[in-house]
Amino acid sequence: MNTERIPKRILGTLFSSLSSGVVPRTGAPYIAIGRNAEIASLTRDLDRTAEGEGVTRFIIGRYGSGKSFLIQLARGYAIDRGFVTADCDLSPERKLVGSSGSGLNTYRELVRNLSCKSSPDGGALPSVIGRWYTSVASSLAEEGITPDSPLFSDEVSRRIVREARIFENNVGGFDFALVVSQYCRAWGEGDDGMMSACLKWLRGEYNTKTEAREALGIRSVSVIDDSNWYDHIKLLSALVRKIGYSGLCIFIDECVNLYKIVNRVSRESNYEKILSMFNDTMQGGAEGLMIVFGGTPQFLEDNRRGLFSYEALRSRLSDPRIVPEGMQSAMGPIIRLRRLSDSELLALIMRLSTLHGMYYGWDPRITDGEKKDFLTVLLDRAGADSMITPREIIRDFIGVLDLLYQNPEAKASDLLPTVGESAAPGREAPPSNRKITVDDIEF
Amino acid sequence: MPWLGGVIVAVRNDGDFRAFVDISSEIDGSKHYRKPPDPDTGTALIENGSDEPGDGEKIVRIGGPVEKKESKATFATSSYKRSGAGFSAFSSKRGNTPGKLVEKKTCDGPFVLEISIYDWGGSYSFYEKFLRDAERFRNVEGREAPHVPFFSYIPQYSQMNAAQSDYYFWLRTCVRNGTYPMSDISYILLLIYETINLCGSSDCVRDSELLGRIWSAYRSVYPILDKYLSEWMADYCMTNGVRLPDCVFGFLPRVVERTTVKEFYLEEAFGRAGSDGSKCLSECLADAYSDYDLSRSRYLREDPALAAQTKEIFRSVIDKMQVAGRGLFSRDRFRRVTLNRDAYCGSLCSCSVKKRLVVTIDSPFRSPETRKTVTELLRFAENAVRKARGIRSRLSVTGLDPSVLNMAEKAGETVCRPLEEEYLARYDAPDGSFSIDEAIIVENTSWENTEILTEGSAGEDTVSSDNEEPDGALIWNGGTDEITETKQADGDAEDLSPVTVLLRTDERLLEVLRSSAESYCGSGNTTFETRCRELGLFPDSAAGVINDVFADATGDVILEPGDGGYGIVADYADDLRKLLGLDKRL
Repeated sequence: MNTERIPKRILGTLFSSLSSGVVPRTGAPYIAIGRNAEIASLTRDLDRTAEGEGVTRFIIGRYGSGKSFLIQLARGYAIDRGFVTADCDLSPERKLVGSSGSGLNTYRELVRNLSCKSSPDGGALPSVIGRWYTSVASSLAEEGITPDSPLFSDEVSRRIVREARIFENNVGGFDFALVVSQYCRAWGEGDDGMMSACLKWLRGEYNTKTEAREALGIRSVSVIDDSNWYDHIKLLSALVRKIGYSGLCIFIDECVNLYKIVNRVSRESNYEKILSMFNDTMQGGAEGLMIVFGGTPQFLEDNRRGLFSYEALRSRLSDPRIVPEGMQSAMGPIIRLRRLSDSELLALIMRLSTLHGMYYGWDPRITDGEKKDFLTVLLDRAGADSMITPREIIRDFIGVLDLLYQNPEAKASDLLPTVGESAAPGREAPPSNRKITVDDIEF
Repeated sequence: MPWLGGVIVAVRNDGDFRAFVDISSEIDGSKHYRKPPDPDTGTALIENGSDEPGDGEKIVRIGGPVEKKESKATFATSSYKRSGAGFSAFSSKRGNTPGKLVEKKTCDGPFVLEISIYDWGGSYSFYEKFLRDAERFRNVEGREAPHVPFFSYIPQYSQMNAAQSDYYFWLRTCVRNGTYPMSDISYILLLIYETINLCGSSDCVRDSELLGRIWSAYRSVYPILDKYLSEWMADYCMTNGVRLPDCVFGFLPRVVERTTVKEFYLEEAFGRAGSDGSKCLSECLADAYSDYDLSRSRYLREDPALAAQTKEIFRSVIDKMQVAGRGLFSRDRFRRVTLNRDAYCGSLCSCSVKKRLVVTIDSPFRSPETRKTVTELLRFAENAVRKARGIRSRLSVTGLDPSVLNMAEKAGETVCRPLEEEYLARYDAPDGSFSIDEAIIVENTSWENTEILTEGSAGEDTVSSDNEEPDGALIWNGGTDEITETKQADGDAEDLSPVTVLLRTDERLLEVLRSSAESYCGSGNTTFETRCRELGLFPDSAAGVINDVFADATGDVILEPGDGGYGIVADYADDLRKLLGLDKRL
């Protein structure tokens, strides 16, 4: 790997995110340690999706095991491979099905975060539709109808309406085709108001049909709501495939929020929605659509409140009966993330040290032995086996590197507490003459 | 129509003379009669299908003169008039007294102390013929025969026709050999009656096993067998001094629930060592001595694992009480009870087989406190499971003895923990060494993942190895804060710099990019969107194409949307200006 080819801005964003303890949206591949089988499995799924298949995967792991990180890895890879992606975190206000528009909120968040290679940070909807318009306009230009021609605008509209008819076979496809055509026509006519209205409809922001009709000027247009938002996701998937993207990838994280729904009927409604998504994608009902759910083990395996409490899902998602103990398969719909091993954690901080040196243009004054000591200190803390996560280790280690970088006279050995000191939590560090102590680092 | 069980007579074909001869000794028990006997003549044909005998054939007459009606019983006992099973006949108002004491057994079990067996106090003869038939046909080996429906409230041999008889003997042979064909309840009952009535003249251990196997095999199809056999089996074992067969152990809780001699069965569970006996005893108690039905619990019904945990907690506490002799098994709970019962109540039973039993029991389970303790303990166990699962609603539990409560709490803590840990263990870090060398290997191999994940952004054509610079690509030179365009290493190689690619794609794209860069530098005031419109480009689309080209070449986009439309990414503004040659103009 040519480490010199990492864009500076990406490295900057990466360190900014890691220092704050959040999963980086860009640059995640540079700190991808281990997870070979999982990454291979996801990339294989994306290849299948690009060929027109549908896929649903569940990434399951404990808090801090790297679910969100893996999702961002897959998302970045998908964008690079010509997919359009959309991601969102579920929350009490954002579910798959729920009262007072909580299902629709999820759709809005997904569309808001719609990303493609040219808009990797979201907001790609106009860009996606614009690409379609451009391709239609280009084909017209090749036929001799240039943008200067008086026929150009009408002909583009006519072509788009004709091509949009493929969506009419799907649920809600007729309205979807009309609005997309309207958007293109408005752009041709320079009607910014109509363009905004169309985007607003596509983002599911109209609450009533009347409001939508008045804004769009389309009679009998419906609106996107809790009951049909998933149909519009499938329409978006069909649209992006039509335009020439590889497919649409949906990433839905923090699914533990569904597990936390107290009302059983409401919880099961959400699981039913997951079931219909699973069936749709795996049975070929949603071509070029990949859906990835991220959640905790309880969300999946709790027999009373998790996905396994819903028999239809349990029978689809449970492991094959013959799985030798200690072995796991990443080929099925479930990707179980084990915690990173100690060696992998050490490899991770080695990588961070390298990247920090590249970004700031220095040679970090910390040896491999000191890195190991640092990790040992953290892992020997009381409750570390269940409480400490890579997120905290990364944040602490970047703190040490930053201190070393800012204080050229400081030594790593001075900054790191000895193993014995940290193994006894709550004990005061012995007094020393050094200016910077471990207490300066925010743990 | 009765046709079996009488004197067997045949008409021999001796020339012109047909003589009625008793051929009982010649008839093989396994012979198959093709048709039932004629009601008027009392004859039946065997061996071929003809009504007339051929040479050497026999017409058999079975049952002697046709018996149209059975004679009425000359003796009726009170036990036949009662609906409930197992209650004492000789303690009734009629003042029947037991017959002669046959045997008095002292038992070594913890609950059943003594069994006195008396003859039946009266006599009756209406089942004596059944007994004779049973003895006559006990060794008949059946041959495979088709199933023929048969129903009788009190099935007997004499009620069956030839086909039914054939089928019965075949069924009996199968059952004796350990296979259990689907059959009518009347056949099953007949087999049970036969076994019970032959107890005095056969191997009782073998026959008790046979009864147990019949019960075990057919109870799921005919649940009524639980009601009958739970009493008759106890009577059989107590009367004949045999142990309960092992095959009954598998469904002992259901038996204890139904029977009136619960202690007889509980003794079996109590006496068995190991987890099987312990589990069985606790299930027996939960089924037979609780007012709270676990199977009706909403939570346990939904989740079998929760139900298993609840039972495990209950079992654990019962075990501890049993070992410590506390709670249910404390000495002050034991009560001495004497049960007077008619053996085989409700069964077809010959007078010589029917007995009266006096059973002395020392039982801890007959006090009202037992039922209350078991009920409360089950509710507590379910509460413990609910608590572990975060279910807020609880069942009310009052009046549990503090020592039992303490045992139950400890059992709850022990049992409830592992279920969640079982699946969480699959998410733990793999075991392995922790060394610098291994970490270096992991770190190096992980670059392969990084390469796979980023190769799309750099473009396969422009990815270079560690020692090679990409041809004509924009690269980030770490630490020098600049993007540079590498020189063409080979004059023949394709120029893949973003500028070249944009020029090839659509030169208007380069023009709008240049215009944006100029605006950013302050040398122009045309926005990206305005310039796109001037050139007939769709702004979002144009930005998309430009970003795609730069992302392929450098791994990052060059334009980002802002409040005023698309603009140059600040980090790369200087580099872009140099790339487009705007420095020279400025």
